[in-house]
Amino acid sequence: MNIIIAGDGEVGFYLARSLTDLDHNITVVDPHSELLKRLEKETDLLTIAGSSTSPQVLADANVGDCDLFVAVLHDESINLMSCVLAKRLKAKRTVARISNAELLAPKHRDMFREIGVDELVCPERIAAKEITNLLNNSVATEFFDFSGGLLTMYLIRLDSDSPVTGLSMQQLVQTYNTLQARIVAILRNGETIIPHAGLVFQPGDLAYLISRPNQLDTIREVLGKDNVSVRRAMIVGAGRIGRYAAMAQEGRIDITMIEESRQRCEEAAALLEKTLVINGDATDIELLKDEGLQDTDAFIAVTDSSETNILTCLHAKKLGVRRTIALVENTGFISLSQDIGIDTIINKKLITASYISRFIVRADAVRSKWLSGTNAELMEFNVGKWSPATRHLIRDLSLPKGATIGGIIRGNETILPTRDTQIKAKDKVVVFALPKVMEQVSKLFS
Amino acid sequence: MRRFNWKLIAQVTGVLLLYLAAGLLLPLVLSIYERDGMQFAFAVSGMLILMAGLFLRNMVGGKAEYRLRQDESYWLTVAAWVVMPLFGALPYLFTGVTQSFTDALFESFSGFTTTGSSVIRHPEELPPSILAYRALTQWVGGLGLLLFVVALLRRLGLGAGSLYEAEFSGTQQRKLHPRLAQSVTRMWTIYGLLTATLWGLLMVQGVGLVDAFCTACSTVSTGGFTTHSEGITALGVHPTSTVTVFMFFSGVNVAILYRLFTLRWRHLWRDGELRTYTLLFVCSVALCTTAFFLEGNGFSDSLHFSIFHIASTMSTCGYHMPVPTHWSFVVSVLTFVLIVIGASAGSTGGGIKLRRIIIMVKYIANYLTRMIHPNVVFHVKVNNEVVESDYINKVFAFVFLYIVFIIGGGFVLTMCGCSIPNAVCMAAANISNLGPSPLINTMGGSLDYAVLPHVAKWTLTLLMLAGRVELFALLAVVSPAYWRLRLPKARRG
Repeated sequence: MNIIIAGDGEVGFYLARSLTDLDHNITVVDPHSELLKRLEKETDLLTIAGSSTSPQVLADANVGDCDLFVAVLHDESINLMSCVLAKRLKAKRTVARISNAELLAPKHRDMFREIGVDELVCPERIAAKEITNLLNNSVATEFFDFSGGLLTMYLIRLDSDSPVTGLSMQQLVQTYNTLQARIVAILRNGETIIPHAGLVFQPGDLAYLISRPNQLDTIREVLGKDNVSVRRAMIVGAGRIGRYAAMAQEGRIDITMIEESRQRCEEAAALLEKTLVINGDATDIELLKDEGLQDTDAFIAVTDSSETNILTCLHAKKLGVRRTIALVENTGFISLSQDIGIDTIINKKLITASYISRFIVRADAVRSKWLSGTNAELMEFNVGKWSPATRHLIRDLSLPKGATIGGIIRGNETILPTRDTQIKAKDKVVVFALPKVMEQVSKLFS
Repeated sequence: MRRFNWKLIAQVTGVLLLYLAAGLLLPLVLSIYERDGMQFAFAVSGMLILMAGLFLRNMVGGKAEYRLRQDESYWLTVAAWVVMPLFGALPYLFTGVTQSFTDALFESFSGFTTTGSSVIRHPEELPPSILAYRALTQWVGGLGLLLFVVALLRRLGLGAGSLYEAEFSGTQQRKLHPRLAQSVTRMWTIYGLLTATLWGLLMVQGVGLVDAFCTACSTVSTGGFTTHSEGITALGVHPTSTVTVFMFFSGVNVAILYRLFTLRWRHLWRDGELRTYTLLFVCSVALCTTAFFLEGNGFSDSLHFSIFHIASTMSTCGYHMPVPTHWSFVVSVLTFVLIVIGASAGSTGGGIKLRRIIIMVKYIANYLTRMIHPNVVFHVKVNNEVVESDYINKVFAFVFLYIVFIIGGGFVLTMCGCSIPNAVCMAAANISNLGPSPLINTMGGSLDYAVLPHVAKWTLTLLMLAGRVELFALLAVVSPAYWRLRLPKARRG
């Protein structure tokens, strides 16, 4: 696919790098020629320095031949403008990043389509949604539904008191043979491990599980996770993410919001009905304690500074808060933060990239989820009629080492595959794969 | 800091050698077909190169990490351009067409760098297989050895970006396609098509199979090896005209030729470099013709020779043909200037490259404006794109170094007994990868490089190499700053 990415820094670059790895033809339009030079040297793509609202620059980027035009600059009006121009210049599909969630309302959809903006993506809104999901789902630190909820992926941290730590993969399968879930990967010290029979679970491991729906209680029991139901939450930072998250949760749980800027506090207070908005410095632990940090069930740090978010989360963790969620914009910090015990990391770049990748039709994969902390991908494949995978049982498939099959969906039925499962044409297969074997895996199922 | 990735360099060089070994099959088959008795030499050198290639790729290269840092890409460039001609000299040694190792190396470097200087006095006496091999080395070297790798090794992925830069350092040109492998493949396709067309045309005009092949390869790559000692005119009148046309186009940026072939002519003329190239060509031909005519030559002779001579010089092809009876001093000066300027950036030709000259001239013109309006703000623009001042500095540094190399080379050649004008012309012709120019003849030298002492041959070989890798890569590898960075670590580790 020919994709043009108009950006002004990190988000665009991140998206470009990830998509290049997936074999797309990427052209990046960005005003910073110095940064572009570095990008082009490191990555196999074409860069054009210039403004994405210039028709000449867009023509240089060969916009007429592009299948997808993505505008992810920080300024939403530039994004919209770029998409309008790109669409007029014959781009097949356009996606604009926006920061004002109001534009997402279904009633505006047709209006944006008419002027040439096909899709809108609001990272702040998605991040807020993700926070809401995590607060409602008390066990996993990250989760994702496949095929309308027929299969779910959970990311669960193994605590030191969990009964499975110390067990090997084989022992786990023998002891809990009723467990309707597959562990497809382990994240340990920032390294992604595809489990084999002899792998021993250690405390602090992050386990990627794929399971049927409604299995969460069993999983919780097996992995020894308490059911934390969130009644009180503290949100640090009254930016868009914080506000959207608070708006979604208001009324269901008690929320205290802490923000340093007086003006932001005023804005948030005007917007939110039942949230307690406190003007103060979040790094001041005494203040947090005074506002009842010890009694909160969840601590969400979403200020503009990744460092503040990580540090305050650590403090909260130390004071006994059960769930901590931090917004970390610096991708280099993600695995570090996971290692030191923060439950969930939210990264706008990853979220945006993951969301935009939906619009990218791969020949065979329907949907894919990009995971934080690992460069591996969860992909859902439609098994082709003549796919090599239908010819043998799973045990005889030459599945590469960096990949595992997490689940199979046949019609409305969910199958958790064993070595003796046979994949059939028209099945949907969820596969966890490291980037280096992605191509091999694609070939197997197409 | 990561360790120096010499494994990858060994691996890529190894792969190049494997392709060279495969390329040797062509002269081998030709030799068997023509029964010229050279098959044994080609088979042996082919085997040796194959073994060296496998050794470098598998034993030394092994499991290399596919990442290249900037400094490593310089090493790779130099390694590729040294190792290939080094092993490429084997066939000359084994067939015995050259007198010594130095001669073989000279011939080989002259081939790969598309210079076309030769130590072989009478090429028409050579077996056809050797002629084909010589032409083939030029063809492979024409578009750049590293681009050869990039086209065939998609796996290189990350490092490939810096390789492309290393090979096209002077051009700053936009890729033809977002994917490197794709854009390089397109360039090779155009290159191949040009060669095939010329080959076909020459055959139609009655040139023999091998002669046509050799001429086609040497022309499109702007190499300039001839198959006859009296030059290209030995092929006949019409073939000479055909070759002239192709020489002109070989000096044009390959990306522009791609537009020409894909029928996107609208933007063609907008390219400033192409316009300058054409204008310079027309003016030079006019000047040259007038100069010869005034010296007392016939007008038609003057015109024909001028067109051929200017095309050959500007594209840095460097074919020679019998010169008009009365030579003109004006033409000598003009030729020398054109040799140093060279072809367009992104073409197969050598020299300083027209693009750099345009940038320099525009910068100096702007500078004069500044002397009158001290607060003026200006940019140098080529094709409506602003050239960054960083790059302009690099251009001036390059041109200065180029002159230093010519003077330095000329100095050594003078010490070897050449006259000063002859030495400087020879140095310029070789660093610009032009090779035999009538200029050298008229300066009292000889196009027969065999008569030069060994030291002179080595100097010229070095100049060819320096010109081909555009100086900086070679200097980076030998620069003290580079070694200061490397050495203390080697001691520690």
